[in-house]
Amino acid sequence: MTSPTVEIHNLTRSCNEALILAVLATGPHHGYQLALALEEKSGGDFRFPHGTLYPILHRLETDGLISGAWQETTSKRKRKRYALTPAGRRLVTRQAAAWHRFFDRFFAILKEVES
Amino acid sequence: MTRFAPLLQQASARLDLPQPTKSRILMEMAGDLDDLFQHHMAQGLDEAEAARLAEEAFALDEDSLKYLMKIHRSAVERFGDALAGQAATWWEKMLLLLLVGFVLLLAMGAAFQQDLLSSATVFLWPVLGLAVIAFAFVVVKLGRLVRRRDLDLRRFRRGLWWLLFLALAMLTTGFFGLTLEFCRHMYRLGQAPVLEDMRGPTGYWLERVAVTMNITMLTAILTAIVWFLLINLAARLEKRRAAELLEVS
Repeated sequence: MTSPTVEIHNLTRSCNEALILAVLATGPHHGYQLALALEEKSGGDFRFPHGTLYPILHRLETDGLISGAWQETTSKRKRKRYALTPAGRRLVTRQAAAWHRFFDRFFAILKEVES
Repeated sequence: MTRFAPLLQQASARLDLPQPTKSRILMEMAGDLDDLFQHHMAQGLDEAEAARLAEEAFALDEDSLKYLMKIHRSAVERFGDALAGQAATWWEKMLLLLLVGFVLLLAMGAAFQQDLLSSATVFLWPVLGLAVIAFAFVVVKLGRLVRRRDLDLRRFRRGLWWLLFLALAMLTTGFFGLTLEFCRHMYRLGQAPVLEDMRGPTGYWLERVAVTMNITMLTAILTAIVWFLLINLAARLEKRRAAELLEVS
């Protein structure tokens, strides 16, 4: 989701993108580190197959919300590390508010069922 | 070389993307696979279990693959796919057929009225050469389509972009020839004292414009050739690096 509102018709993708941007807001990460960080922060509830991260990361990079930089390691193998861009950082802040609103309304509807 | 070469080879076979995009994706996957493997090893797992978990985590499902290919296809390719994907109605096909037929009849009518080859400039020959190459390309492609039942259609479609490239090359050559011949003509007019008066101010202006266009086109063509050679070289190098990752130990 590259807009500050929650897109209901594309909820899974919006959710995944929001989570990845939120993790990157804490600092730059390699691709595999993002999936591990999400699993750890969610207490094991959010398990991302690492392969599914790449289309999301590349889409966010194309949209200019994150930037990927190649780094050469001691074994001369290259690694790609992602970081939030200033545009990404602004979007994360606006998205957090949108998600709070979304879940407030979501739970308000569920509460009617529970009562 | 990486222990995950078989997994990367599978991903490479399924990723229908041009170089160097494909190589970059595979290099990224290879790096993350190795790092995840090291992470599991650092947690105390044995090599086999760490490798198994890493491979399991990196399985690419169909939806992710399609999304990945969609993101990395160029705007031109997406436009081409959109055109190809449209099931044209019968009246659209008839209209296109009538239009092509009309243009062909006009062109052939003009061609039979005069000796076309002798009245054209020398630049007609490279254009005809490119046309022959395009024709041979089409014949080979059609031949493959007819003969081979197991033809890789994705590669077949991707190769068709060469026809568009040849068409652009023909247009560029023809236009370059137009401006060069115009320059020569105006220069010849200027050399003959009797005819020099015929040029007039407009003629001088046209000559200057033609010379400018000529030099512009020449430098643009040379720059495009250099660009083409360099991106091919870069793509070959990246492909070689990715191939090193895919070598089975």
